[in-house]
Amino acid sequence: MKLPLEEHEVVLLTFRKHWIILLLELLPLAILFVLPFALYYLFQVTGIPFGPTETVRLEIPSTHLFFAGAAWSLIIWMRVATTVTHYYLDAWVITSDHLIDIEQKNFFHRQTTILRLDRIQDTTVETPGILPTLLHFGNIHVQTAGKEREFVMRGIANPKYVREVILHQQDLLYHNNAPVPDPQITREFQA
Amino acid sequence: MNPILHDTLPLPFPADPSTIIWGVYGLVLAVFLLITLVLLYHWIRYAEKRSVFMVCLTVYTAGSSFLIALFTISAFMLTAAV
Repeated sequence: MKLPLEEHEVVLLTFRKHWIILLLELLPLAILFVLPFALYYLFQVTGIPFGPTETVRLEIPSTHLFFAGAAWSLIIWMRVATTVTHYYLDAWVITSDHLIDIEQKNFFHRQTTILRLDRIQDTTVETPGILPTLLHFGNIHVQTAGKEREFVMRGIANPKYVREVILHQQDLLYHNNAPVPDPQITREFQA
Repeated sequence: MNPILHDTLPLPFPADPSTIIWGVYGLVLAVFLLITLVLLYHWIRYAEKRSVFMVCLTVYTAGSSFLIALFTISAFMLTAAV
C-alpha cells in the first residue's frame, strides 16, 4: 500500500474494523451457502405442498445436485474472497502528521481522505451497545477545523487506544511547533 | 426430448444437455477468472506486507483448486449421467 507521505513522516499505527464486523458480513454468505441444501433436504423429507391435501416429493438425481452444489460453493467462495479483501483494504493509518482514511467502496472505487492531526479539534469515542462493549470496538468521531467538519471511523477495534495515539501525537506536534519563549521576557515576568 | 416440440419451438440455445452443462461450467469459470484477476490486482497493489499477500494467495489458491476440482468432477459425472 503506497501512502502519500511526506519525507519526514512515519507511520505510527494502521488499524481496521473489528473482526466481528467481518464475521457479521460473512454470516449472510454462510446462510446463503447452506440455504439451498437445507431447502432441498426439507422438501425431500416433508414434500412440497401441492393442492389442499397432497404433497409432492422433490427428487433430484445426485449427479445434478453435486453439479449445482459445486457451482454454488464456488460462487459463494468468490463472494467470501471479495468480502475479506474489502475488509482488509478498508483501513485507517495514523502517521506522525496525518490521519489517513482509506475506504474501499467497491473494487473500482477507492477513496483516501487525509486529515492533518493539528487540525483535529475534538475526538469522541462511542461504544454503542452490549456487543461493542464486550468486544471492545466502537466508533470514533473526529471534529476537524476543515471543510468536512465531522469524520467518523466506524466499528474499529480498541477505539480508546486509537484516540490515545491521536491525542498523544497531537500533543507532540503542538509542543514541537509551539513558539519558544523569549528568555528576556520570561526573566522580566519572573522578576 | 419431444421432436415435435423441438421443431415447432426452436430454443435460442443448443438443447443438448452436455452443451448446457459445459456452457454453465464455462460461464462460472469465466466469472471466477475475472474475479481472481481483480483480487490479484488489489492484493498486489494495496497489500501492506508481502507476507499478507502470500497468505491471501495461498488460502485462495488452495480453496479455489479444491472447489474447481469438485466442479470439474461433477460436470463430468453429470455429462455421463444425462
